Amino acid sequence: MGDPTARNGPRTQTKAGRWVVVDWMAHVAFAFILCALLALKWPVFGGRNTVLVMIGALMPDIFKLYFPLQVIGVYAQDSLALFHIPIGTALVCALCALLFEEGIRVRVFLLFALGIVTHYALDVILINVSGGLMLLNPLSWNAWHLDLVRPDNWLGTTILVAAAILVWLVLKAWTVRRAKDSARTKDETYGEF
Amino acid sequence: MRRVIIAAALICAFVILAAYYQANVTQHLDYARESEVSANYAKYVGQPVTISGRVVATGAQSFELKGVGSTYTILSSSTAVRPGDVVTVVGTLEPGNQLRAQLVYVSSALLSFLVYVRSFIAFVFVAVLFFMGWQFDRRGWVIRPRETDRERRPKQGGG
Repeated sequence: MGDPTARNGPRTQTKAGRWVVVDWMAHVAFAFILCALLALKWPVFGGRNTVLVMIGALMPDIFKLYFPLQVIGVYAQDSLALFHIPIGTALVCALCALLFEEGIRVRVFLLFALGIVTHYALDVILINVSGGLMLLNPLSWNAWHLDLVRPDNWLGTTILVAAAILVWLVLKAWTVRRAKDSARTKDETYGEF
Repeated sequence: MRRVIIAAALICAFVILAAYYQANVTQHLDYARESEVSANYAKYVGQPVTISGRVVATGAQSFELKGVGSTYTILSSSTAVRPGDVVTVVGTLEPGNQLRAQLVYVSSALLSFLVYVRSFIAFVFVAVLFFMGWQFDRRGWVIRPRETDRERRPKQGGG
């Protein structure tokens, strides 16, 4: 245990402590933007698969169940902490993928895993006064946080949600335009006969 | 059957790792938390600890912070807090449930509440979106893609 004043730098490496989290709206918006952009090149990230990445992005926060348990007097923060550690989240993600029909399980697992990566990418930028993310546990107990954004920051969420809506509108307009163009091309082709 | 065996193996691995974490986390903390402090208060007097909770009262040079189990007096002359604020303090533990603050993170009651509101909206959104694209088949205990009208049409046409 060290001197608290000795670690006020903008990029701090600490050991285990209290968890902080981004709100779910930001996680969902970020996952959506990423999937929408990836789907331009790889369609597997679009359609109904996008929601699987979103679910993956929320999966580590199952550990938040400790809040309601705390209200009824059960201290389960340490018992549930593994949900918010990559190896634990990966196990849960594999377990959830087993619920899907055979043939698509590996794909579902990988989509969940992408969501998990986005979750930790957002969480690691948060300000954390007494801990961080233990990304390598159980191999290492070191925890990381970049101390860039406050956990209760509404501006970051607003920007991400606005960006997600913008991306959705642009893609929608682009799809409609492409459908019209292809219908016009078809008409012209049939017209030639 | 294979699915059940894999699921059992994954659950076992999770339980083992969770038990390992729970058994060892205390030794790897930067600062003792309220759970460690309340278990052995005397041991941590003079040590840096971290306490999180809600502000219940404020004074000129201090404020009262209600944690999970106890209420602590936080000695801090420079931090402006209001009752209801969610606060995490890192500081030196003193006798009589007192903590001399060195690092304080304050989040207003409203901003903290809004985090939960936004999260709830996101949860409902994702749940609705999921059931629009996927369905749970109770007979086989599997989740499969929900067929949309667009996907169904070519099949009917193709006979």
